[in-house]
Amino acid sequence: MPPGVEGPPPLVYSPRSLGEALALFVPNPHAQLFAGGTAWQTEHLTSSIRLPGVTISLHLAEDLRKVAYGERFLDLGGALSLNQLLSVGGPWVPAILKDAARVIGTSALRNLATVAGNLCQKGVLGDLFPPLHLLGALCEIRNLRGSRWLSAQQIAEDGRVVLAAGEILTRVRIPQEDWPLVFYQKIGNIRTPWDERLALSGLARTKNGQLEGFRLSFHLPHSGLVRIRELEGELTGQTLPLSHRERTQAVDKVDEALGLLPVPASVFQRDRVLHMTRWILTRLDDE
Amino acid sequence: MKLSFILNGDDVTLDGDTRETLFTVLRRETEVFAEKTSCLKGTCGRCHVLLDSKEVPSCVVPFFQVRQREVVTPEGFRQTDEYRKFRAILDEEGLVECAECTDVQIFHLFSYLELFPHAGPEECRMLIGEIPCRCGSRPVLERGAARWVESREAVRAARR
Repeated sequence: MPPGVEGPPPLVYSPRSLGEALALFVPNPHAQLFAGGTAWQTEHLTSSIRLPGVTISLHLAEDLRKVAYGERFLDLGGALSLNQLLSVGGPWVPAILKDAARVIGTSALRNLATVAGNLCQKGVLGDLFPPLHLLGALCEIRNLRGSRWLSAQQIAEDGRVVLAAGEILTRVRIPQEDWPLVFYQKIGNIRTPWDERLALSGLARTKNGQLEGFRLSFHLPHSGLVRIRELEGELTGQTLPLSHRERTQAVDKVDEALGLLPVPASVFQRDRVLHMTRWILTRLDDE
Repeated sequence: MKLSFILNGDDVTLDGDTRETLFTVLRRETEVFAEKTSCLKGTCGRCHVLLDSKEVPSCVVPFFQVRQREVVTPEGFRQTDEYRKFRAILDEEGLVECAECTDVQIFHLFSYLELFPHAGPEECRMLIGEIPCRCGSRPVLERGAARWVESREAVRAARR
């Protein structure tokens, strides 16, 4: 018996399709899903894996790894690995999503880590979520009776995708929209203290010297996602370059939003968020 | 639980528990990784293997996932032509062998460049930085990786 675990070895099923995986929930309604296992392992640091009594491992379910794209949507299979996501050629995968995926773990871990695993991991909001939120993505959750769609807003409120017993996150649907200006910066990683970690995501589109579209969010791990829609609305339609007053007001608005968080941002986080906001506004002016 | 899979080209059947990682079983049941430890979080690179041609940290992969799949360890990769070609390029660039990281880096670079054949110098630099070592061979590895990308590109162009 491996060290640190007790009792008989758990039962592990490895279905080859989504249908098989869902069918396994009939005799095992409380079976736990196992995707890449990277979040669990990097958190627990043990030579053994504590699995529940019955586990459904999705590593052989090829239909959950599919990428489908059309004119309006991009669909990413839930069990698609991050490196598979990064290796999709052409303009189909939004650049901001690739930027976020590229700085998750190491290359070898990205071969295991999955899109759905990133969104469903316990404790923290996954790194893919802030870009998906800005892009207006939806998650399809299926069980044997049917399916439901979860909006990014709902996920942000819950802090992660919460699956009920018998449910699987089958795909993430991203609307196809052109965002030529992409901003993504992540500070810290899993080993960095919580109050020194943050990620910034931003999307912008300009036309004839005007800011045609603008979306911005900050992700502070202990406070969740901060998106200031009022600011986005105010800046959208503005003529570029922005005036000094407009820029100062924008930075003040971000600062104000940080002050309203349930868990206050640390001095470091506040400083970095304001710095990054100024950086984005400067970049917009460059356009 | 006994599982059959291909290890470095040979069919093997190993005994392990569903809760064990591939690294633990390989270390106990074979001579692979016998002299190595692992960080247990998949970041040090010392226990990486190719699982169905994709590089993964064996300290994160559950043993039950290798059933009927192919596993290649750095020791197995050393016997391949790809290793010899990559190593020859690095030797030409002046590589001083490091017992800790040389093989791991070659393994790491090779598998990444198979997946992302057009990786640029910045990407290769980041990749080499993922394997922590103080041996100072990074510049050589960066030059070697750039040459490897070029040589593979030439091979592909010739095929076209």
